[in-house]
Amino acid sequence: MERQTTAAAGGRQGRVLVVDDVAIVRKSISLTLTSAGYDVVTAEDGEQAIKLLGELEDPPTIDAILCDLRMPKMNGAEAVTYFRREYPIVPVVVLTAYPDVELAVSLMRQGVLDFLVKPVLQDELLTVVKRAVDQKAMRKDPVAS
Amino acid sequence: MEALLPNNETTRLHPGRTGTEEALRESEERFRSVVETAPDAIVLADHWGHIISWNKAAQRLFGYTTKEVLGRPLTLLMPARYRDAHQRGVERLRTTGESRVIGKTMELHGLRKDGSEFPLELSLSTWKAKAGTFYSGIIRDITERKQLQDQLIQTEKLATLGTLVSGMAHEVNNPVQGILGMAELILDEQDPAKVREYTLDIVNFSKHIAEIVHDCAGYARSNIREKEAALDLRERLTEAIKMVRRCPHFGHVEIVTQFQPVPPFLARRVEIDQVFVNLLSNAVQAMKGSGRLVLTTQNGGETMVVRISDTGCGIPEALIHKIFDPFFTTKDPGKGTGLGLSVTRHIVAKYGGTIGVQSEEGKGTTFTIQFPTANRMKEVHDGEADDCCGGRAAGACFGGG
Repeated sequence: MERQTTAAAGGRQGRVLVVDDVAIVRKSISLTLTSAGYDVVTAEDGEQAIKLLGELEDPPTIDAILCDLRMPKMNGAEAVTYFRREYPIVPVVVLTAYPDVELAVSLMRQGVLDFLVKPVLQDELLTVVKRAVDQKAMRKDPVAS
Repeated sequence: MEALLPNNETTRLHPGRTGTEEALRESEERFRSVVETAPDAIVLADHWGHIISWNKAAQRLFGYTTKEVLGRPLTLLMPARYRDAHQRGVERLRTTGESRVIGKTMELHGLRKDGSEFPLELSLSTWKAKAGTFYSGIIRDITERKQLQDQLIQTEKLATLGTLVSGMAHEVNNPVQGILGMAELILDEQDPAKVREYTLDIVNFSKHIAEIVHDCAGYARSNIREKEAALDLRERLTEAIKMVRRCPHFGHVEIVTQFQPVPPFLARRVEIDQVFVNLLSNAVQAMKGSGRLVLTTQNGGETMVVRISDTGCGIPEALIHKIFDPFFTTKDPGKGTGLGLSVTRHIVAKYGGTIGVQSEEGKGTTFTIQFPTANRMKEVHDGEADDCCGGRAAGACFGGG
């Protein structure tokens, strides 16, 4: 579990939870998001992500979750189901290396905001994350930071 | 059927003299008709291994006229690599009466008059007459059958590759995501130390992708026409594991290897890989992402044993006798050809082996393969057999033992 905070002046853009079992994916996405002004917390799998959310403020100040699907311990599909049930106002974006149309449809029905297939370009990633964070802000929920 | 008969009993028959002789003559004519019209080649040889008779099918198959072969050694009809072993077998049978191949059916290669080879199936028997022991060989050209079998193996290999490639997407796209991300970060990075760090990440993960592609390409490139080679079954199992790790359903399967040293096994790599990849990917799919896969090799003296056990869903008792049938599958439509286990059994049998299965629903399945240890490696080292010899009884060719 890692935390990277942007040093960018002018305040943070929001806090994003990145869940992915591949270290270089976590690293590159974290660097990209922090460079763009986001706070980033990371987890290696669904189990660790749930634990992390439990350890954060109650309710956790997370503006978007970026989640891989194929991971050890608890896979992404199970984790997404958990996120949608426990934190319904937090937008979830799936980022997977294994495109599966049936699974994508099933996850979108659960309310996943977007389904990105790796490799994804920096611009596309930032656009989708911004949309997710904006959606959370528009909900004006007390959980929102 | 033209023949050089050593002591032809028919010469003593005088047609029409008695009813018995007439009956015998008719019986012999019927026999000759059957032999002459048989679609398989029939070749008879004396105890020295010289051809004394053959039928029209043999003439068509080998391309010689009857006159050209009568009295000639059987070695005329076989590739040079079989000849020494054949001669020793003939000698052994003549002097000791021992033979390892009489009464058996073997797959070998024949040699036509024009010098071309073809795969054949040979059933060999002996018979005795006053002049001694004679050989009868019934020979079937199996060129078409071998081509169909090869095509079937290739088809199944492509289906397996399809599954593995979809798994590879995950393996490759993850590091590509990292590489792409790092490259884009470098574009805006001013700090030379960070540029160096990100570049090293790119180098490392590019190497990782190269390894994945190399593993998969090795399997994809393996050619059905490649020659037999001495294989280490443990090494082939290890390579097969690398492949099935890329399966989309591999998940968190734990792999345990219990490898005892086993002798080298003479076979085509593509076929043995197909056997192991089929069995391992079935096991992984049965475990649905979690469980224990135990791979064992044992040297059992005359046989070497490969055992693949999973803790998956098991096979219902009502279906277990069907699993080796072609086109039988329990997978969803479009997710399996139903040829995997059929092809697996065919390949194992081709190398003189057997495959068995034990399964308990809800607990798991164990496939046990037994290959003969005396897998012609000795003959290979002695230069007596050749990798083109498809039969497990090579070195014991026509008339040999």
